[in-house]
Amino acid sequence: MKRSSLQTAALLLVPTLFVACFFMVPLIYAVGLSFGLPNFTAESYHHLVDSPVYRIVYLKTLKVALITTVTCLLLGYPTAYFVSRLHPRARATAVMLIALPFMLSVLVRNYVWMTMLQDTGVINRLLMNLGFTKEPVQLMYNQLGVTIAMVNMLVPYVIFPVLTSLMAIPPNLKVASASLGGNRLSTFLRVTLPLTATGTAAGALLTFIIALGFYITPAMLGGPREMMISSLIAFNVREVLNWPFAFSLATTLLGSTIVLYLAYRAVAPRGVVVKPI
Amino acid sequence: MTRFNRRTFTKGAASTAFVLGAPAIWSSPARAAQELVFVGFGGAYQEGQTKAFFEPFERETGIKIIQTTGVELAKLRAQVQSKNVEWDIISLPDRLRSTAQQDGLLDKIDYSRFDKSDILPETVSEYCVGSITLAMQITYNAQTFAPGTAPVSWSDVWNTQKFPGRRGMYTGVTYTLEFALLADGVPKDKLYPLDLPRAFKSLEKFKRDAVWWTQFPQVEQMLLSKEVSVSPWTRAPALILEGKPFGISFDGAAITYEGWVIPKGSKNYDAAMKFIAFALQPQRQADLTKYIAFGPTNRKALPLVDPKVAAVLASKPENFKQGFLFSGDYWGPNLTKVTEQFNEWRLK
Repeated sequence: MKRSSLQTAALLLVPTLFVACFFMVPLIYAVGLSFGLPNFTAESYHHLVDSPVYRIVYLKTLKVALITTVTCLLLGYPTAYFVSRLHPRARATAVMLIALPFMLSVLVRNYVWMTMLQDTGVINRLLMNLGFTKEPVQLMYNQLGVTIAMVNMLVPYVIFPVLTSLMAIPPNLKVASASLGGNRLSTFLRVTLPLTATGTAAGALLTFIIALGFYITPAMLGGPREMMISSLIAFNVREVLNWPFAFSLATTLLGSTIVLYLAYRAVAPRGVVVKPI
Repeated sequence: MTRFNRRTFTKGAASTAFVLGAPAIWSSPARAAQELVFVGFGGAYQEGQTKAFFEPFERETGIKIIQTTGVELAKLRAQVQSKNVEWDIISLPDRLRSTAQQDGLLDKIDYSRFDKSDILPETVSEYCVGSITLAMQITYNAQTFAPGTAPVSWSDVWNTQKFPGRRGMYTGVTYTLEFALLADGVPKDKLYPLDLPRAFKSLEKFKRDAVWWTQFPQVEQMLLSKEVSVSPWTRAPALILEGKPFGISFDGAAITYEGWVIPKGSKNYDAAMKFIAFALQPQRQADLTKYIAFGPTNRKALPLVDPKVAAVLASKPENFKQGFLFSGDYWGPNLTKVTEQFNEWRLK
């Protein structure tokens, strides 16, 4: 039975109002404040451009997010592929295990990584006891430590959308490919990969956007140079109450995210939809 | 826009109850159930405040204290600006106090309500009266250094030849720059205003070779696992009393305080002042030290404190005079500018 459009509109009204009131209005207010509402001044933006710190930190933030996303893709896709081929019961267990870390707070997981990665940590003691190295290997207080911990936190955002799109592929397509003379590699490259492109791209985008907002993890596992734009926003909001400047940083970050998203839309793989015949 | 919060709910519920239960109330002496909202930092500290302040205060005055956690200047400002102030009483660190005061978020303290002559004068000001003292101080793992060989001054901490091991450094300008200057030979009474180029130059030594931490709880694990041998820290006194192997020095320690403040526009100013006068009493302050190792601000409280505990408190005169008084008033207006310079230095 088809719902009338009036009913649909009525159903959508509540969530729309909710998003408008509690998300769009504050967001517009924040953008307004960054321009010195109720007056108009671009002072905050001038300062942002004039000081070398912010440009460097923006680039650093983008770099960290990019490295994290690429690593998540390289680890997440094969994992999802493996999980998709498991027996349904084993698959349910695997999905639960992947989701399990979500139940621990980010702060706790940072501490766990610290005890694993520091000079006197589990990994270094193991390496030294087994005679692989005499001096501890520097695994944290640098980009490496930040990447390891961020990938650990974000890889499920790649695994789940990829897994969903893998599961949506009708099994007989593989048989069809084989019957047409495709080997496993060409079946993967010409059938599986294109059919999961949308899910993979969505996972990558999600990971990238979430990674842009990280700051506790880089602050704890990175060195003094691992500075993220969010930590500067938090400092200005919480410590010195310089909201116009904090919001100009936030608006710039939001703006660049939107630009990246539009760029993604322009080049993103159009979803290949398999229609039953 | 009026926000529907717990308080308006209570009011609504109370008036409903009044209508329904009016006949019963008429016969009993009418007394408005007063309440006071306290916001704290949670944890063992707030549990101690509950036992030392809130419970006896409720018993004595009948004023109920509603507790919440998450002291946050941003939230305080949002409450004051929207004229919907939920918090009535905060024990605010001096540095935040300075920013809050500058921003017009605080009400004045009514000094006619209590005798301030016994309160440490360094912690008494127009908008704030000291509640506790604490110190950001040299802290080391007592198992790393044999007795008598531990670093006790900032120039010791800067001397990596004589005192081996990696250093922990706080990733922030407050405290860190003061310590860098003391290590470089600036006398305690000539610290403020800080000589910034000199401080950054002195810090250069640790730019690559220290563990730069951001979260205060991190330091316990870093010291116990011997990842670092020494670091500035505020939390060792409590842990020393628990028997953990930490050593501390008050030499060159940044002594700072938290103070009772009342947000501007608090709906319960009167009760809040009553509470402050109550919590400043010597016995109340001495009781707090049973639960958490923060120093009292009332001079008469110290003799009531267990001597073992008093020995590690910043309020003890011998300790207090070894350190320097951290200046919230310097940092309030300078934090933004100096932090930008610090970030630039970090990235270079």
